[in-house]
Amino acid sequence: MSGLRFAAWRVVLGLITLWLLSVIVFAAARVLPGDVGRAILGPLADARAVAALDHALGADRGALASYIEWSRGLLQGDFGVSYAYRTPVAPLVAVALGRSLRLACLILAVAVPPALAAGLTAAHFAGGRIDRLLTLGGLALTVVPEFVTAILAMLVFGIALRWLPISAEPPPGAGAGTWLRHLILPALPGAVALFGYLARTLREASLAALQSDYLRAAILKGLAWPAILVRHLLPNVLPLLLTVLAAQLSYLLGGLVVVETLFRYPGIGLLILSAGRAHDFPLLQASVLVLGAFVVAASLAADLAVRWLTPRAA
Amino acid sequence: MRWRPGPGLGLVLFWLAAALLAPAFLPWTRLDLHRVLAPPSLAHWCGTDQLGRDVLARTLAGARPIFETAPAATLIALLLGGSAGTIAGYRGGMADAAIGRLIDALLALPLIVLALFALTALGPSQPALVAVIGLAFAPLIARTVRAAVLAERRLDYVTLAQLRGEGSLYILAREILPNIAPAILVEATVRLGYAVFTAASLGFLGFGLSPPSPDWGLTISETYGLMAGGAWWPATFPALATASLVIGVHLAAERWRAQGRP
Repeated sequence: MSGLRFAAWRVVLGLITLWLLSVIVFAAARVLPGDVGRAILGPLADARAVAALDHALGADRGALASYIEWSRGLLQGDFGVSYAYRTPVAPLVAVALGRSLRLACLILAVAVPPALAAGLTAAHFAGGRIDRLLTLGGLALTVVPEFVTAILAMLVFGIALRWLPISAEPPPGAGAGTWLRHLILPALPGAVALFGYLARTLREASLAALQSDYLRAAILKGLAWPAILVRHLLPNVLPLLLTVLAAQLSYLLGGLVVVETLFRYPGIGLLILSAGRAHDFPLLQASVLVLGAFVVAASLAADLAVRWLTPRAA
Repeated sequence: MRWRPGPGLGLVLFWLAAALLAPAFLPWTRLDLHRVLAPPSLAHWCGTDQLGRDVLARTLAGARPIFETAPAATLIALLLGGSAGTIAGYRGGMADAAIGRLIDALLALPLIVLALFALTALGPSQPALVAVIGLAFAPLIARTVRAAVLAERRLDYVTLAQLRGEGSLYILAREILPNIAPAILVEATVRLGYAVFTAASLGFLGFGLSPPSPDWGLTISETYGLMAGGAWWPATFPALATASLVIGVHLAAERWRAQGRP
């Protein structure tokens, strides 16, 4: 398959996934609760009030008709009106997504370089004490829920040592430095989990690469370790790094829901949670769909980048 | 090599014992408003919480809701994901393509978000929690099982069985399943670890059990606000408990995977 046809095919697959995602999101919000008005007003509300609300929200019409209307709105950039805020949903979601992406970028910046270093080091000393420490430690860091890591980090850095503020919200008018300081603790749980996972995956990959014939030849002919690292090992590991990052993005964003709640950081995770608690289905549908679309787009971009980085696959 | 238990299994068994003995800790979890937020001491090893309840007893009793939720959810995921993955891998063609797209779409949503979304719609309750985590994990298991079945399908022993005229169901159950069972079991153990993770996280977000359950996630969400005032113990011990159980399950899975290899 030529590069262009591959790209076109991946885009088509991505669009199908997006469409399925919209059906799932719609079904979860409209069909699962049974009666949307009842879900919002609660079990004690008057039946006439529930019927009136259902009618006002358009929830009393057929599922297919309202899906078509909703998706037509989506295609025109109209994400609906929030029940709770009574304003259009799109700007709310956009602002929150921007804040979450800032946090996610900080997490990537903090986690990826050390993970790369740790993975390569562990592979270099495979079987040794450093290797065992990194593989077992990496496992432990990855599998512990973010809110647990966050609680322990708050306890150590925020309360015992008093190094870092435990709220994500900087005082008004604070500079970039203060702003960053307030984001360090919220970024830590995600960064720690990602570090553990990446380090372990990169260790496996570089171990496999180090055992390949051409790399053993490079080592045997006496090529210096830095040259091996930069010229041979990194180009081998980078495509994998991209794939893993794209695959872990959904996990990372899921962690943000918890972390943003814990630190009261008004990103997309907190938005999803508060929309869920308020039964604000238009806001919930839009923010979950945008999050999913973002993950689909990232996986598409990673696939294309990997294809471009490894000419062999063409 | 003979299979030897490791520290992971020890941790899991410890918490399983705590879950089974949970009713025995009840006398210590009574309210005592004269002993609110007492720091750890000889009388209360892990201190008392905002309602004067013993933190150690509540942390031990908190193992029970997790052991009621996570294994059942994993089993549901195993049954659903296993069947979908088997059909996709063995049949191929349209079924494979359709299931593959569905898995991709579901995996684009973070598990927590998917579960939170469904629990919002269904209303939080323990059966709903089990069903939702099971459903959310099914796509991942389906993906693993599909890959395993796909790898076996073309092997000689399957072709031989097909030539003998065996039915698909017989081939899947008697020929393929025994060969892929170890891989599926390791995957299920890893999923069990993440089921504990997800149940605890949903409990923390308020989509799990309701007070006065000693559920770890719920307890942490009720008490982490007290940490800023210096009362670190009511949130820290359930946090350590969650961490130790999750790490235990994953260490056991890791050991199993390493020793299961021929």
